[in-house]
Amino acid sequence: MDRRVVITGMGAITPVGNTAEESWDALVAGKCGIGTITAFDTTGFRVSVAAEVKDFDPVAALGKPDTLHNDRNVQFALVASDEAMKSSGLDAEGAIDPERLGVYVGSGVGGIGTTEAQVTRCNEGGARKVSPFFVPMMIANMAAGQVSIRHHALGPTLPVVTACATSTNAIGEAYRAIRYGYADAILAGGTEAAIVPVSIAGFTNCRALTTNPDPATACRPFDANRDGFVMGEGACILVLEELEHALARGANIVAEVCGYGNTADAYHITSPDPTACGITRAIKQAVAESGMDTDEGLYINAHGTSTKLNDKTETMGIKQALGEKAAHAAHISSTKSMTGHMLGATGAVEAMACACALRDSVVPPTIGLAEPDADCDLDYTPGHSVPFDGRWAMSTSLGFGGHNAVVVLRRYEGE
Amino acid sequence: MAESTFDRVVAILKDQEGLDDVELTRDTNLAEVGLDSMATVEAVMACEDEFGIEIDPEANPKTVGEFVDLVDGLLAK
Repeated sequence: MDRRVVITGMGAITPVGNTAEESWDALVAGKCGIGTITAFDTTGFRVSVAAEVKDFDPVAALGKPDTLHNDRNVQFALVASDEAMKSSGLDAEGAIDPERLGVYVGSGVGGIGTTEAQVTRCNEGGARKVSPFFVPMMIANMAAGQVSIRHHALGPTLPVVTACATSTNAIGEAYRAIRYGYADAILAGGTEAAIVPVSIAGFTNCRALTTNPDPATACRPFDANRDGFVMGEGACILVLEELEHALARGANIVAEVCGYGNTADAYHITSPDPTACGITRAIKQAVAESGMDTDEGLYINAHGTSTKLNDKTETMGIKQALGEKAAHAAHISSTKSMTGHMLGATGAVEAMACACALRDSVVPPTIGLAEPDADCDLDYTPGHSVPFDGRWAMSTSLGFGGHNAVVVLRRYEGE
Repeated sequence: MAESTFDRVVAILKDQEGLDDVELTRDTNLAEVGLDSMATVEAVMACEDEFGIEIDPEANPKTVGEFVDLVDGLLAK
């Protein structure tokens, strides 16, 4: 029997909203989550903007011990996982066999804020001043560990670490694990909290971030004047569930996950292959697995980081994979124009946007896109959201290390 | 009147380890109120900062009373 996989729950905390639905509504409305950095004093830094999560109160959500003993990225993941479990209904007693519930939640850089603080303690106070919680708070798998503890998920667990492709890989791998029978539901997504000095300095010096200090124009994916990405933070966790399991308990179905592609550029540590062959193959793999017809109406939530190289090569990859006609017909947008680049969390937010676009028949915009670039000549939905009657959607993610991950979703139209 | 060592140690345990709602006496067993070995090390380190002392990294007080005596012993030196 062919097992199908659907999304039955969503949890998110993002720079544009502190729940999944609040975040989605903000994306449709074109709300920008980018502002001047408040997390630390940026004097001496060339970068001064980021997309921060607002009004996050971890003590209220998690209590003091869990706040003190978890890095901010894990705090985000725990809050998002609570929302995802609740919205799916899987938090109800007996809703799922714990051994059939998995956790695939990753992070790009893990507890980098914890690392920074403890390195300072070590250098200033000596080795004995380093917290016993340093290692468990810092390691990038701990969001998955803590989420499994919190929800007593005893099934497969796989904290993916593929930089900016992390949570797209997590969703893709979770889809396959359910499809091939290893679990009935998996909490899949990613989390990130990297708006800390050493991280902003490092991303600045590898020339990934924009130094534009104006929050309104800093992130402008596919625009001729784009010059780098804006760091975001937050978490997004989706509940992927086997269709029959979801139907049997009367779950609300947002959309179906039906294809996954995963390739490497094997080219350079931070620059995409200029021929775009890696992302091209990833898209082709995901489309082939989905069985979707490329002539049908499609929404692509692009990686669209607002760097010179990404947006150009990604556009090339979309055309090479789908053909010029389908590429030009597709509705495309980069929601990073509003959320910033949430690194390991970004793919899950963007898969959520695809699912909600299919559910609500609307495509969120790319804001900040004002001046077209000859190398980026597709329909990127500039400025405002548009109605959408297509049946499928795709989220593309490309990560440092040359990781390419693509998931394909389709509108859920009943059995 | 200055706070006793007991009061200051209890304040650290309550503040850092989420024991706000737990009544702590000299006889309270730390493991029984949920302090694992890592949390105990963390509380020991916080006491080093609070009292300006250096506690043996291998010290492993089992009760609140043992914890207070450990600190008082070092303060008396």
